Amino acid sequence: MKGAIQEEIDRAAGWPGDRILLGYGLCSNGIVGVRANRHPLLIPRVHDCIALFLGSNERYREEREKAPGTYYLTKGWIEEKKSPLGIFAEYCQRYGRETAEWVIREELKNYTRIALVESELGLEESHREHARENARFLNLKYEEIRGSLDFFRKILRGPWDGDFIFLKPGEEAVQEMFLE
Amino acid sequence: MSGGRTLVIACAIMKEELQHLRCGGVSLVFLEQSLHRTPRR
Repeated sequence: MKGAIQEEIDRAAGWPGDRILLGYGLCSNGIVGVRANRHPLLIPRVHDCIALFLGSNERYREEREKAPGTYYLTKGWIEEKKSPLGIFAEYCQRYGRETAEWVIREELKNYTRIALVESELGLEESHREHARENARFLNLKYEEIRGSLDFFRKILRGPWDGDFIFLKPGEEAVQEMFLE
Repeated sequence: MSGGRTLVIACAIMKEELQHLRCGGVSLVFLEQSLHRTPRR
């Protein structure tokens, strides 16, 4: 992840703009080591994209407190087949059905809830049905939760306040910047 | 710090949201989803 993002930042070094914003958070430490090149670099101060889809760290915290073992789904994750069932299908090809089922159940054994995030852009019934099917497959509680585009608006328009890490040219992202 | 030109480099998972909200002075570049599953790549 770091390499792919850094490549884009470095490619933009000659671009005559004012700043680069990333649509990433800490993301399993994948952002650690990313360095600002010629432009200031702003990174949402979030652990992962779920805070972005929910609109704020506060909303994410509320959901984590309500149900810590939540597997979040968005329209995009479902369409790209990155739901548990999508990953299970990948595993089936790789390991065969029986082993795949054991692996996916082991990986997700601590989850208790599937939460489908509905943004202001809405969902289709097919997304809901797929999310419910995931919950049935894993025997998890299913809920739909309201998302918000507020964080995405801030990424595009500011204000780039304390919700963002600001790196001057040459500075590098470290894990501590994301910890509350 | 506001105004001027901004380049957003983002995960394709948020493509629909960012494109929907896109405004003047902003360029968008999307990278493939799930890079966090290979954080060292």
